[in-house]
Amino acid sequence: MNKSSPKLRKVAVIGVGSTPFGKLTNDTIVSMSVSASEEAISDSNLAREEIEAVYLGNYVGERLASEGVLAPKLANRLGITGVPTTKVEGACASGGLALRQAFLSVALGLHNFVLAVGVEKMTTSPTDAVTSALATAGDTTLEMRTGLTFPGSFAMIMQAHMAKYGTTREQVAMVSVKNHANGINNAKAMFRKATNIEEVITSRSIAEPIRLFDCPPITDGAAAAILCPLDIAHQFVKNPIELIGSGHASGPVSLTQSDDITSFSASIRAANDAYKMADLTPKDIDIAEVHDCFTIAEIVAIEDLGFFPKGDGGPATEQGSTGLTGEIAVNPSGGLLAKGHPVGATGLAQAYEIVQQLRETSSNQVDDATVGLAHNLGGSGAVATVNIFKKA
Amino acid sequence: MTTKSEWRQCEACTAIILREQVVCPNCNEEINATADILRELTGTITAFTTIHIAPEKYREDAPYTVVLVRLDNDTNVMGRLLQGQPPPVQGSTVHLDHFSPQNGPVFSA
Repeated sequence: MNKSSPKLRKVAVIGVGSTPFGKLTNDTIVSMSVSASEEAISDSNLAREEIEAVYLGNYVGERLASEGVLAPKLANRLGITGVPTTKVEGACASGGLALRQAFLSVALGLHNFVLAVGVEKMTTSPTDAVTSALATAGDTTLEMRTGLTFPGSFAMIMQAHMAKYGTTREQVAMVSVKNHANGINNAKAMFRKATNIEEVITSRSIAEPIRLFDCPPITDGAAAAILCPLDIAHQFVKNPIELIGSGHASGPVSLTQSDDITSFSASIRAANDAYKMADLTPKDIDIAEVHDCFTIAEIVAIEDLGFFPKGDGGPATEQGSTGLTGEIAVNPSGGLLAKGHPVGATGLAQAYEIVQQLRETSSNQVDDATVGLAHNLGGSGAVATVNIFKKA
Repeated sequence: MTTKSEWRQCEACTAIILREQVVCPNCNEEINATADILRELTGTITAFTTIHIAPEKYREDAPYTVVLVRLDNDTNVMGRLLQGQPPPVQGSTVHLDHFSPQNGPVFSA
């Protein structure tokens, strides 16, 4: 936000909801968005008909689930037809964008009660169809027509990070080991089983040097949040969580447009805007849900977000600084790697975990957590959102 | 297989233009050049990956290697490595072999 920004109202999250993440055979993309929304509404103690607007994040629903106009369909099922509904798309950052738009609409005084939801249905499609659908986030002419995939893009990023900073393969694999360990306690997570460095490094090759256990699973799921002005939040819940800072930026649409592929300019810009709005620095963050769409992406994220200097992400991970009892707990939910990555839902699932942590109700509760950050990335850095939450 | 280059070279600053656009991304001058150039283009591999799980469209090609190349004039480009060549190493030199209608630029050691 620049100097000419309008005065913003303080915004709180008063309810969150999430389906389990996994292969949800009996659920459709619409039914999942309804389930997560109903849970968030119930959690907020708000009457359904009080909802004034809906922002829905979804990336490949038309392609993989053959469903369009998801936001009106959701409103219709919830019995609130008539309110303005908007679907937003920013690849794997679609959920973060929905939350950001909901935040803005409350902060700017357009609405008092807004539902943000993210959803994706992926497991009914074959892997190569999912790979193709996700690859639409890359620039066709500049890179994707070569047959590059997103695992391939992050394979190049891993290789470049290792070459530039001496990051080791074991340090990268540790991200998967840590996040799978965190997933064990998370009842919503798709994978609830430990792994180890050896298993990560020798798992099936996807796009060398990226292996299967460097990747998140293909997942179904939805997550949702209810936002309202902070000054009335206590009328609904005892423990509202303030959304204290929000940033959103675009970045290069191809790795060819960056001379340093070990960093995402959109993450840095979105983070700086969010820190500025919150009047906080990276040192103030106790817990973070970051976009670990691949193991190396978490190392890049914890550097771009300012938690560690560039190049220190690998050693920090190896030393346990990002563990539940470390300097900053990163992905206590298990992250995308263990919890699963229903791409449009991820940004709101991150918010779900941060809210649980700040309410002190997480299955992997971090002691004394008062400020939490959610970082959502789309493409290989084309979109990023950063949202910062604080106990109200 | 075609050998015609899709890339053009800006007459004002000699930057390589990778796609349709009105002004040169390097010098911001209107692009006049139509030269079919660059068969002799060389560069350095900055990163590469061998794709095992491919999109549907390229399933028959897998495994194949994609290379991020820094051309000698400092333009970054993405291309295929010519099928059948051994996996490269970072920093090794490649040259543009041809343009494929399906895959765009194809590089060779």
